[in-house]
Amino acid sequence: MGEELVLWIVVATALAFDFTNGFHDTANAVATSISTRAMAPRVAVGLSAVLNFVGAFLSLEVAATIASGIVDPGFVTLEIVFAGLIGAITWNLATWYFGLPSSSSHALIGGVVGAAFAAEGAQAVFGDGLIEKVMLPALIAPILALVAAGIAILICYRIVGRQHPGMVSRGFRLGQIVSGSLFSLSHGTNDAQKTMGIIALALIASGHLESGADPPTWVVVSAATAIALGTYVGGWRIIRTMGTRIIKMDPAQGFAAQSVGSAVILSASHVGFPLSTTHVISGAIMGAGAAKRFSAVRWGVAGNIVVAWVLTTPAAAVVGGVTFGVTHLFGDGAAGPVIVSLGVIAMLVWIFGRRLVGGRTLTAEG
Amino acid sequence: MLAAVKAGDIFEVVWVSLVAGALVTTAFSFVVLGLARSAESARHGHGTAAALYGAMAVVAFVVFAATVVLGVNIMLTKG
Repeated sequence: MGEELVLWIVVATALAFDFTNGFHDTANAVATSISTRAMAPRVAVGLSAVLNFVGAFLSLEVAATIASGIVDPGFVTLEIVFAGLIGAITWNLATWYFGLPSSSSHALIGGVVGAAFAAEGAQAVFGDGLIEKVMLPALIAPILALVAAGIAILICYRIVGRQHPGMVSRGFRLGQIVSGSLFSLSHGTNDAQKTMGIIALALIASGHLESGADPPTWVVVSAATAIALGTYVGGWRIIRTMGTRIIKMDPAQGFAAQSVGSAVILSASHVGFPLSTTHVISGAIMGAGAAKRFSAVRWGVAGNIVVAWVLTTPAAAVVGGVTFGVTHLFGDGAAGPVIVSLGVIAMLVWIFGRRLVGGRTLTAEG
Repeated sequence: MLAAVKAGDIFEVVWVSLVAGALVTTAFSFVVLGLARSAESARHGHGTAAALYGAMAVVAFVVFAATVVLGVNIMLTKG
């Protein structure tokens, strides 16, 4: 009974993480479309939410990848998965508060690694897995997207550079509806699966699923729904950072960034390589800006974003480790996860309740 | 070291991303160019040029649409 309760708490926490993942990453898909006025803000997030939902059903390859290879499955318990999720949610909310786009995937991996390390020591963590699935993708994704978007926008300006700006802008705004939709779809195929992977990990750890099996249908449906709802709510602070604070974007740059971002995510997703959509689109936006004029990119803002990327895994790991320690104080039963969950919920109500009562909330209208 | 994610996979991601990103942007840029030039030619009474630029826009759009369909197909057929 106690273990069943912990399992359901873990599943609920994983879906809460998935919601913050959608909420945090709305900007990846819609920021460029909104800032170039290709779509109205509410239309953009609504379309992105629907396409994220659909995208979640299209493939399970990344789900299989993220659930293995970083921590030793033999050491993974429900408490470790729970603590890891709390670490990831905490980092997602902290970076959202400061309007910084960061990788939800790396936060999730960091949280689980920190919790596993606190529980079992270094033997539970595969160093090679961290290099393959965190450090290498974190290096490759933004640089690849930056270079590819730079090349793409230079080709684009070469072709349409002498045409009437109004006609060109209208054309690329229409194109952004397609490129933004494709990016949202690819985001759904990539990110919803990470939650499916982590729920599968919890089900395997509790003996409800065989190792290596695909996630059950209810996991796929609930993960798709959670990420779509999170996307629809929208993390407007990050949308503003990505849409207007890195570069002042024209529609051609927005189109190039989204198209290249989709190409990178789709090709990575095809081989089961877990790239961060945040790293990809941020790199693409910087590349599209820098290729036009190097000084067009606000490198101070870009630097803050890179610092957040570097801190993501270790910070989530620390929170995951501390959460595991606190949970473990209450023994191996359900008491720890229940008390920590209530504590986190109370803290969120306190923080967001104060914002709703006393402060300005950030919405599509700004 | 690179067991789960092979070096060949990373190389594939890099070249496919570069080629596909450039291809889709180039194709759509020709759509915009074709439409802009076609409209301009029509305004100046150059019917043949307008038709040729229009045809270029259509061909470029077919390439663009095919790339998008290919992308969606990759999502549908993997894993």
